[in-house]
Amino acid sequence: MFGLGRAVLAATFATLALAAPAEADPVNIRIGWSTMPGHLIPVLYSKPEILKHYGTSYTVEPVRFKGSSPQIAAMAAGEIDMAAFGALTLTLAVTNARQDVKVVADIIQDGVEGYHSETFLVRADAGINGVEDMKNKRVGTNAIGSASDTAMRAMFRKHGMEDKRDYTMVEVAFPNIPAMIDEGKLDMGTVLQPMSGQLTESGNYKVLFTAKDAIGPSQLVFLTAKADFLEENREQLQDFFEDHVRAARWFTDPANREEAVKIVADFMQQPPETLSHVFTDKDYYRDPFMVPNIATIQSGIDIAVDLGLAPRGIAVDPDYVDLSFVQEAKRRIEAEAQ
Amino acid sequence: MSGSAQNTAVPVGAEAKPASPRSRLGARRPGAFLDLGVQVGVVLALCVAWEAGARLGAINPFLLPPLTDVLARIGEDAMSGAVFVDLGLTLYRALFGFLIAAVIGIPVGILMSRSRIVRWFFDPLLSIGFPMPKVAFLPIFILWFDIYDTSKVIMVAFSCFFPIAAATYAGTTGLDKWPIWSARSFGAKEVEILWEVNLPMALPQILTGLQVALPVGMITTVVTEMLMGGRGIGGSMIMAGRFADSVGVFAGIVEIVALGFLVVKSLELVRARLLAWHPETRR
Repeated sequence: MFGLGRAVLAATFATLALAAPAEADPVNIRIGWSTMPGHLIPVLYSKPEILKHYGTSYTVEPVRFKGSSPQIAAMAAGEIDMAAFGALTLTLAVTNARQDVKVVADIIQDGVEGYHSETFLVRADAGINGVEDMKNKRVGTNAIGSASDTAMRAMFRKHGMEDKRDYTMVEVAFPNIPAMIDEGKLDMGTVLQPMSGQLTESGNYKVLFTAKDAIGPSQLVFLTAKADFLEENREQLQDFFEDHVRAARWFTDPANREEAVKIVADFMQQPPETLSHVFTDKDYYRDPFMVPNIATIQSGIDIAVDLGLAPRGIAVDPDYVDLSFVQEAKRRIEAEAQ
Repeated sequence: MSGSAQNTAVPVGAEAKPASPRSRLGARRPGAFLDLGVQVGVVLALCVAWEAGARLGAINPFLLPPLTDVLARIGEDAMSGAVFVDLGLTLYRALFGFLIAAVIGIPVGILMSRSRIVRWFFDPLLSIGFPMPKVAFLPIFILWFDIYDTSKVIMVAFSCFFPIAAATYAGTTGLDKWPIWSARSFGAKEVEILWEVNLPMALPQILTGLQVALPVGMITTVVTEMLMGGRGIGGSMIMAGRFADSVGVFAGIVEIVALGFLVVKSLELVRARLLAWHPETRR
């Protein structure tokens, strides 16, 4: 008798629980990233007082990858909802992995006037004075197919050189590239800030070329999201982007620089003084409202197709872009400021 | 002459000759064909399931492209010659490293069984090194031997050395004493005993060590190519993966499967030939 009563009661509660509004649960957003401090993704949501909707509308789960290209498979397998893509990886995600994705926000832009551009360093005493001198040499790249990798290949192609035939590309994590150049195990490699500045200032290294030299100003990395994820969670994502843009603005605000650098340094387990370039003009450019530069993304895609790195091109605008989120975020933030 | 049925069935004059491998195969043909048929059937069923799963949309074609697309890609690469260059390089690295390991590992194993000092030195090294994931040494080998072939081949040799040396040591240690005593009683010298008695008796176990080491060498080659880039099947696969070319990745997998099968089967044939006198081949 009591058993039956309990069962009916349990069934009633279960029905009520299922009928409860689903919006009570925040949407968990899994975001791929690969480089710190460039991408900022793992620290952007670490300061609750600047986030209005975290924990109520959404939560964020940053997922680290070796570069932008490994995120394609993760997205196709449903392991992440947003990815930090470059122009080539966006194209490959659409053409090869058949993903319906949208460019939604800026992450970092390279070679914008007055700001840093990715540097490709050689030892000053290596006798390498031009790209032609890289014949039969070894090149370190963080991830084949990544944004900096594409820039390097474009530069080599400009000089009639091809991977495997004229030079050997080796995947080496960004932090290990300077040591391998120093040991003479690599002849050239992508060196990020602050190492790039420190090494060139030492006089032992020189910049053979920059990404800007190779492909001009570019939208180096941008946030890309699955179209169905955007549609299914539009309302919550609107709140997310409001916080995302607000957080990015807080971090890049010179008034907060000391605290922002400390947060980044703590995450990277480095002393803050090693990040002297962060959030200055020696860092990459970030749009104040995280609006990506679609024209340079398109240009990057055209270059990648021209290099034969992608089977075919795509028209980013209007098929693979949705700026409504950052635009709405901008509207909300500006309205709040007034 | 015993009166066994077997002996009475053997024609006079033929009983002293062992049956040739070919005739023995002929004698087992029905069973062998059944085995082969089942094995081929399993592989074909797997291929059909793969193709059907991909074609029917059960799996995202990026994550599992149809087998026919993969085979078509292998065909294209074969026409361009790229697949033979990659396979050749992978095979060269694997076999070269394997040979170095055999040339060093077999004498070390023999010396361990014959010299207490050598055993004292190598026994702890084998005990520690055998279960250790050898590929963990790759970053060090890159620093010592650069990123080109040398470090890849040495990595393969390093991985193959332990199973070969361990198997040789085990094979040459646990030998039956009677044949050795018999050889000594006939006045054989120690060198003759080593070559004529010890090594032939240990050969099955040494070959087992080589058969364990060869796939290890193939795996190590592909992994080092994947981690270090350049040409070779592993390098091509990682390149395809980075460019979201899943057909290229699966083409690499099928090529490695085919190459591995051929190499392992070849060593099985070598074993059968070297052990033609041994009961395991004469069964």
